[in-house]
Amino acid sequence: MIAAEGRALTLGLFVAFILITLGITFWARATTRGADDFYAGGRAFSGMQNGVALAGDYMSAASFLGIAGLIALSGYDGFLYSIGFLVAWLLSLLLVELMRNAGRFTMADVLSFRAKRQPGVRTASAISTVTVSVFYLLAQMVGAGALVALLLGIHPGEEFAGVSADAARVLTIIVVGAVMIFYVMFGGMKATTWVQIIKAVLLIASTAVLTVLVLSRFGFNPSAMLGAAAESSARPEGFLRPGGRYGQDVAGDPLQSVLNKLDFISLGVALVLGTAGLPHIVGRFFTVPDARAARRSVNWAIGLVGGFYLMTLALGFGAAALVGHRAITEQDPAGNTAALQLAHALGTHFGGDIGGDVLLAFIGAVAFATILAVVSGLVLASSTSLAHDFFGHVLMFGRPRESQEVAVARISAFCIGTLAIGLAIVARDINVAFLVALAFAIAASANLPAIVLSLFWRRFTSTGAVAGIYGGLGGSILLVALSPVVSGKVDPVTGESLSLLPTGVDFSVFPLENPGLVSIPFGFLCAVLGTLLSSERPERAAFDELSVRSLTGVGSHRPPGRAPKHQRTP
Amino acid sequence: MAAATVRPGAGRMGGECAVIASDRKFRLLRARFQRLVVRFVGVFLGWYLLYLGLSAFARGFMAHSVIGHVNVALLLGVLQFASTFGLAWYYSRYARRMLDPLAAQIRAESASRLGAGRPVGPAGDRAVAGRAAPAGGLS
Repeated sequence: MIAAEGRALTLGLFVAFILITLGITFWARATTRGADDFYAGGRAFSGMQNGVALAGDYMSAASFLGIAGLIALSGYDGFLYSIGFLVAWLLSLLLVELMRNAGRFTMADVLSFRAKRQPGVRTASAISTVTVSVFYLLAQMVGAGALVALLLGIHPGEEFAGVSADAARVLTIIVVGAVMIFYVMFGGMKATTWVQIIKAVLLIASTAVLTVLVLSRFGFNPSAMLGAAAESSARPEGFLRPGGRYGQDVAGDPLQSVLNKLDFISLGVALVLGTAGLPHIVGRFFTVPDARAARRSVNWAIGLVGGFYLMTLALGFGAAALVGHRAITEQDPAGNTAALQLAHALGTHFGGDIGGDVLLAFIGAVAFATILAVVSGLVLASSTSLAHDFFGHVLMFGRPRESQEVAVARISAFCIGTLAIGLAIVARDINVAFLVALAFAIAASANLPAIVLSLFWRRFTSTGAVAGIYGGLGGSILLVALSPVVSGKVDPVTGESLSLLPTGVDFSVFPLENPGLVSIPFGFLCAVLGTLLSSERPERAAFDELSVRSLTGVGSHRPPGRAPKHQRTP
Repeated sequence: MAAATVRPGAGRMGGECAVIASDRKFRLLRARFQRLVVRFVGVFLGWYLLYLGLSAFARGFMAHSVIGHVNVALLLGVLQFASTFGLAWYYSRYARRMLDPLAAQIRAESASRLGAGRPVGPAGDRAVAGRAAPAGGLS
């Protein structure tokens, strides 16, 4: 899809992005000394900086390319994702100050505040953090591999610069993985945050440019754009209504229709409740000096994420109208290239062939930058949890040397990054898009109950927290394993398997593809039962201390040099 | 810089926190925050679930045209965006006016109590386990 000069330009821009961010990483390496620097960027980012970085962490390539493609092909239903992704931030807004005040680096700091059995809670949350991060990571990295082949226009069987499509994908996964490991290992939270900030600004600015260009083609009349999009779509009748993709009505099968709708609601609920439990988002709550800055950063994130997802409407419907259903599916049946094709079409319209190539190259490079930034955030979150929670508090009984713990964090980043590269190469031919929704479902089922009950329920105990985390984590994974995602879903027309496993294998006893509707209540239930049934007595004094600290900020972790007077060392 | 070297876990500031926890101002702060959380979650989650329910089960209604090609579904979707912005603004305003000043007062009072007594460290905390401020410290 790209001419040779365009390819060179895309690569050039991407290399420029990598060089700039590597420069930042070297600077961050030189200024990163202890754990506060490595895990929390010295807690010195302003509310606005951290808000932009939060938005950067959150707006993955899946939401940029994926949602635009979903809207372009399925119409209205793509928008449902955008809404869930945005509304979710209100829950983070409620929790951010409490968590910033009570915790130090990770979710487990908050959960184990009241815990008698620190190691159990720490281990459970490290396991859940790494699981969520690796699933999400895998989806992004496999996506990166597929994207580069599409971007450079290498179709299966073709070669570009002596590289086949498959080799290009493997190569991309390795390069993306290596750069990501480098950012995190050497630059920690400082480098990762600046990478997010640069990427978020690039992504939002280029989306805004595309949006203005799209709207200008329709005289800035959204209704005209919608009409044109519906007309050139595959089904003009229902394109602008819900039900094109999720919660479909199956003629003559009312049970399946209801199940489809429940599945859709399950997805929506997991999206809204999962965000506040995503480890790479939670880790960012601790990078600001105090709770007010944390609130401000979530407000910034809400503004930016909201504006971005509103603009994806213009990208998606614009691609449907200006590129057309057939041209999009010819390039990629899943629609992931719709935004890129739209950029090409708009550039060509306004600036001729050169304009098309330039705009496409630019948007392509932004998409790469997006993937790179998001995966770095995920690796940082999981290595922080492994080093701080598992190594520091479980293996070293909470008394590690700080330099030791940070060294372990760097090594963990390398190990997790390498693991993710390996898994992504193995899984490169599998459609792993479901892992994003699964990561949200696990975050909502395992992490959220423990966080909410720790902060609000006086009677809650560490046994309850451990039971809730393992119950929610195990429950959601088991339900997905037993769902049509893994086995038993067959295309009624072609007879091909739509599940992970080939046709013939069918152990799908759970009818919903999204486990949230069952696994989230199950996670809460496990946490409550674990508390009530165990003989562990709640630490009520610790709960008082947690609520005092979380609500007032007394005794919270401050950036070096800004500690309030009463926290002086004797 | 005790703040960074103290590790999370119960009991370091237990004495002082127990004093604050029984403070009338703190109870007011907690009550206000809890009421806010209940109202806030009720409104945004209820409104979002209503929207999800309508998208799944009331598709005829959602398909009604409002202006040109803009139908009820699109309008409600954009309203979800508007309500998210509005609720975030409302929460922040409420926190700024009703919560932050209280929290700042509590922090200041606590700081003056501790500052007048003795520096706080793990050892000091154990010493004030009996809740009352150290007798000789406050004049």
